[in-house]
Amino acid sequence: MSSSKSNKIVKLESSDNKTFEVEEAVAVQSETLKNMVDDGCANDTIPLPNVNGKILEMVLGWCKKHVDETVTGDELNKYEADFLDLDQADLYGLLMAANFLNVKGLLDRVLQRVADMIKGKKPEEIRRIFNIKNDFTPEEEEEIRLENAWAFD
Amino acid sequence: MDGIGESSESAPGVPSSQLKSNGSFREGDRSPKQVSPLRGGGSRNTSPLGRVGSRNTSPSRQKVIKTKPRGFDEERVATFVKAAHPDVQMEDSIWAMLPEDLLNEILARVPPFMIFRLHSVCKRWNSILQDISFLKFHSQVSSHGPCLLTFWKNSQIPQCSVFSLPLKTWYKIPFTFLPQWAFWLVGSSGGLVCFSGLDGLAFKTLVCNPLTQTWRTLPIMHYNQQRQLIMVVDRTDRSFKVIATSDIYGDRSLPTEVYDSKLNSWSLHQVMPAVNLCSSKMAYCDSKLYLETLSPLGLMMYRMDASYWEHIPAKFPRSLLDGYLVAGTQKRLFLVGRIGLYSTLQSMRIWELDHAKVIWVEISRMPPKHFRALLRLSAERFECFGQDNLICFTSWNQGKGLLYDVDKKVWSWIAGCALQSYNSQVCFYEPRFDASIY
Repeated sequence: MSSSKSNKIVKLESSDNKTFEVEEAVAVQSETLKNMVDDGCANDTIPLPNVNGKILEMVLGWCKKHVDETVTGDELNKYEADFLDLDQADLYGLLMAANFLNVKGLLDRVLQRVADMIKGKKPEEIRRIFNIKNDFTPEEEEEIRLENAWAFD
Repeated sequence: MDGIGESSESAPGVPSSQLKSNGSFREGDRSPKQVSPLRGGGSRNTSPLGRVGSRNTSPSRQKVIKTKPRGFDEERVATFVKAAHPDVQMEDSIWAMLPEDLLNEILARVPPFMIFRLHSVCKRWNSILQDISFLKFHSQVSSHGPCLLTFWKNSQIPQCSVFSLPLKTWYKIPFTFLPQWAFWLVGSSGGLVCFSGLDGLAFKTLVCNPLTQTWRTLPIMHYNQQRQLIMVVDRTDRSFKVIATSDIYGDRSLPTEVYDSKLNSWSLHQVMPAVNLCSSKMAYCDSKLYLETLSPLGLMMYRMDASYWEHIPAKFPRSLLDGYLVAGTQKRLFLVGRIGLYSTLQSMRIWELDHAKVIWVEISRMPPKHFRALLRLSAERFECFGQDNLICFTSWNQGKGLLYDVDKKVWSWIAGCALQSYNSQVCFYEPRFDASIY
């Protein structure tokens, strides 16, 4: 997406009252913000009560990197790979923010990262992580395990 | 890979005495029951060639092997060791509040074969495959493959093994649902797999989705003959077509027939202009079906929208020994085969059709060391097929697989298990839950 020639600045305020100013071209990487800009609601500071300052800064950093025309494809790949080297709390926050702000590329990456983290896990672990109650009887569970045994390596 | 070096010349079906397997070749055993010699141990971990019986579970570099077959590149084997899943600790206090739609989006990105493990988590996850939201997200993921599907019959019982290239793992899918008459693997497209066979005197076809274990016999064609078939799925249109061209002996002129899943019927199309002998390989791309005629050697194209056969006057390379047509992405069409009549001077090459100039342009050559490893004798048979700019070579006698990535220009061996024997058929496959047989 080529940077727009307008030097319009978009002002954002995080849940913990930190303000960020970014170029419109950077902000519209977020579909949510893009809609606001298109609807003319982006003239004043936009409050983002679901996103804290630390996470918002990360998201905006991602967006900035993606409009920067001097960044090469390889550099961008490395950036994206390193970007998700986060602790659990930040990763979760990033997921929620990318979803709320609808930053497609970032959201896709984070979702894939979480998928990669859970794919090797045993059912007991999955239940613990996502706080899911096991509503199977031991017999039912064993039956299902046998049915799907071919998929285990 | 089978035990090259010592007894690799053993005929398929004769278990090599040096193999150490963890049990007899029984039903239910995890490793695919190929007739040709298997890797030792029965596990899916790659073992260095010649070191039969060792179970190398390390994802790092393979040990140096003592008996190295001529031309084999051990470096390439090392890259295909089964992927280790790094275990990342996840804290429940953080993830427990994850909204359901995001959870579905995450699950949609888990490789399809690994979804089956999650069935025992809870009742809702057990029925995730019926969850509309999950299926919607799953269908939006552009690719869940590529995988290699191998089909064979073990004394009338259908067997199917799928090698997932992203996961570098073999899965033996239960295939008992397949009717007895299903014998030939026609191919796979968009998550569906097509089979054909003779049910008494009737030549029948069926489509199935191995993951959902659903299947359906298609209506009988107008001309009940054993014919060359190809199946193509249109994911955006949510439909598929099966195209029947010449009969397999190539001596009858039959009208081309096209099955359209939207109409659930076969329609008659133009008869191919009289040519003798068509090769069994067809390639479909950009709404055009390409077929190679062997005598005379030429290229025929069938336009699906205009419904007529056309001869493409692209000159074939001289001294071409075999010509496999492989469809790539979008409009790309490849020709693969050996050049050179004398075994010492042979080379395997890949050409791409320049549609504008109507000529075959050579784009790659198989490195000689790979060629020698793949085909030890010039008369050896091999299969070649492809999908999405990946071309796979499998050697009949040796059960090996060599993969060429056209975009990345990388050659790599597929190791871990025998891929093909004289009675197995292989094709590319993409596991998809949303592939519908209707």
